[in-house]
Amino acid sequence: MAIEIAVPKLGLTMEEAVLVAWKAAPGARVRKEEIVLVLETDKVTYEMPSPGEGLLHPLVPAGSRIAVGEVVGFLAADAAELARLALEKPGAAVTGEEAAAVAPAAAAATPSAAPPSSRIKASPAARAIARAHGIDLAALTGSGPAGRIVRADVMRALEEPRPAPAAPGGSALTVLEEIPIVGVRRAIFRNMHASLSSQAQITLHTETSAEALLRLRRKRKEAGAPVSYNAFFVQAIARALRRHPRINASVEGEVIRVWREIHVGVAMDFGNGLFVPKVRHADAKTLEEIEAELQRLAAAGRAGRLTLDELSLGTFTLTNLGAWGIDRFTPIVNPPESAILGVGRIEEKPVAVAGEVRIEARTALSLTFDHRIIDGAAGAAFLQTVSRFVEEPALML
Amino acid sequence: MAESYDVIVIGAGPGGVAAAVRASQLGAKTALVEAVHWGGFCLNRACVPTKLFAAAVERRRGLAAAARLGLRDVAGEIDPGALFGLKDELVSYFAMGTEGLLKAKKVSLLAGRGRLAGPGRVAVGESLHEAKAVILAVGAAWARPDFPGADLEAVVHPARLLEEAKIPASALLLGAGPWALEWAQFLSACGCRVTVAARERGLLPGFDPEIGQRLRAAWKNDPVTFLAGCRVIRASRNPEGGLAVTLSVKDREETRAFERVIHFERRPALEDLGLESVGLKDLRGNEQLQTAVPGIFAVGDATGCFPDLSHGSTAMGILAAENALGAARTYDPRVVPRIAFTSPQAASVGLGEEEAEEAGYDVVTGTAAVAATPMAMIQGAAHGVVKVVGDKRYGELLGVHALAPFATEIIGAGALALQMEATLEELARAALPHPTIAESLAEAAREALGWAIYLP
Repeated sequence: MAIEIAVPKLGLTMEEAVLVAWKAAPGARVRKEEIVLVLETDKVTYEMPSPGEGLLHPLVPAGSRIAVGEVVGFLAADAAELARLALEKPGAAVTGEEAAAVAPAAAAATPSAAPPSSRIKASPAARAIARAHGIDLAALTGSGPAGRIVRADVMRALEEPRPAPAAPGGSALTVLEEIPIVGVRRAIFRNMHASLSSQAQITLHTETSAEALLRLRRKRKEAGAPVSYNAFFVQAIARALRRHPRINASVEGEVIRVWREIHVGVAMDFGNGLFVPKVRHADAKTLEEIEAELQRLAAAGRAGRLTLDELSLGTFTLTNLGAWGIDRFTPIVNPPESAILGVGRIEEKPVAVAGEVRIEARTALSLTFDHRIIDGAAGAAFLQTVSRFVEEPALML
Repeated sequence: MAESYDVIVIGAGPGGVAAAVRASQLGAKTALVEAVHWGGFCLNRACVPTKLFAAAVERRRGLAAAARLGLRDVAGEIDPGALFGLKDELVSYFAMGTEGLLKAKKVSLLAGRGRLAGPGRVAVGESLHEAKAVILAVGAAWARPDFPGADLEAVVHPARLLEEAKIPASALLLGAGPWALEWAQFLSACGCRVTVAARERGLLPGFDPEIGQRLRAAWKNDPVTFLAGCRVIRASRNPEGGLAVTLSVKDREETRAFERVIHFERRPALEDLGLESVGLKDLRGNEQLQTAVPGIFAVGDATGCFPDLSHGSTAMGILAAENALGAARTYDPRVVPRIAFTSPQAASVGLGEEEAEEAGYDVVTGTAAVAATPMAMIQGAAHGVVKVVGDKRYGELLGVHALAPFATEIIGAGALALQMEATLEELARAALPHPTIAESLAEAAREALGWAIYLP
């Protein structure tokens, strides 16, 4: 009996995904636990291990949108079963680019490749010249027999005034690279816009001494259990949220929901977009536990293995640009959360204390919150608490 | 009485016939005017007769080599009289065929000399006809060379030679183009002492020079004498008959005796065509083959775009008919092959190596020696090459040149490849049949790409 390949539910909120690619060719032998396909949701890219061993018979082409639980292919035990499957359940005997061009429904119904209309008629020389100059043949009109794109058409396109790259004073722009807004980028795109379009955001800035924080880090290091700045800030935020529960809230419909759980997300960038994995119940965790959790999440993120559950259902976000030498900035809230703390770099500065000028390590803290549900005073009070915790970590206990 | 047509074509050579048939196919009421011969110059006095002679020469060479193939006691001498007779028979048969074809295609045939009689009007003899478009396919007329003595009776053009139907004892041929060389080898094969005098430095001007050089090497042992960089200073009647011709050969004067001097010069036949009635001086047209006067198109030799290529005229005729009826297609002379029915045959299409360099391409060439292929050995062909010219930048095919048995057939593939805008890559990967001469075409392309398979 053939083994079904079905789309797993990767997270509580996941309903569908895009099958980005098949990692094996139709008919190829796939071993159990070998990566068989790649799924992408708006939060994660997931390389799915094969549920068993067999000869691959894909049903849907790459590029298809798939519901959770849907069977996207089979693993046949042997060639005979593969042949039977091909007859009974004609699938997508296509991979890669071709597949992406085909509508999923059409591909599921017909056994083979792209429709003939998708073929661009162009002479070999026209193709070669277009390739050399990065001209998209699909954008050209052919003047040859039966609309064939010929050399002259491409040469005409080449001669058309194209904005010179980096022409000073020129008004037109040239495309260096086109990045499709899909997957994680689409999620970022949507969230950022939703953030500013749905909330009334305000940012408060303050600056505080980082001397105690630096001391604490030094001691931990000497003790052989170093902690990151982020672990420290997550703890400070979590403890402050416990004192200011109204900050830990979301607008849902016509009500403000204040959450019992405190799940602090930390913005991380692994070079392929912004991810915000959550430290669950951060208020109940020790600094060591938070540190360990952050390290685990970062490792998963670098490996592209963050799960939907690790990325969903946060209540507050920390974003730290200190490592980039940023003094202070105005972060924007990650909806449906209502507040975010931005942390700048730690820098030694002259400070006036009791009539004397002292040199002190300082850091800027910036709190952005949804002014619809958090009043200015409430926001300021929360920020002040965080600030004091940073200044004097002992207060957290 | 004045009859009204959509299209009137003047001249029933290859260009005119194609134009008339195409116009009629497209639903136009079409008339074709011809004063002398249905089928024109090509059929009656040029291609067809000379190709018949070339076939005889080729067959004779084959017979000479027959012993090699195990055929005993075969040899042949050409009997020119029989050949001229067969020529007349074939020509009249083809002319009849042309006339029948035109009638079948519902083209009205108007016999007589056609000339323009103002815009949209064509006079044929005494009658006047109206046409929405006129296609002039009037061909070319013989032009006398300009040296003193060129008007002597013994200075003839090849059509005169055909009429005489007699092989002279000796002949000086002026020019080294395909036509002159075809005549040279025929006359020589019939026992005539032939000298070819060319102004140019090599044979087959207009072809890739390598083709001409290799043909000359192939003919090294033939009794034809070549004088390159040569022109005629004067000709006079010899007291003992024939002509005394003074030649300048590489800046040295010498006088030689010939029974005949044969020239091949022609120019557009524009006389008595009524061009002045529409304000035209010549028939040079734009790339859509329309002359300076809208509604008047010109094709073939009449346009002055020599060398005389029947298939070029045919292509132009088809295009002119379509454009006369509203299309806007352009003529690309680059994809029209030049051919010579020499032995071995020579053929060339597109740009030669030097032409391509002059045109600014970053040129790459590839050659395949034909003699080394199995079919060439079977045929006993000791000479030959297929050469491709391409552009490095895009790998585009720019020209194909061949000196080989069947080169005139093989070049058709090259012409098609050029017309389809092939790259060297396509040619290199064409699965050409084996064993043939044509398979060298793919090998030449592979050589240009640096991966010739059979080059040791």
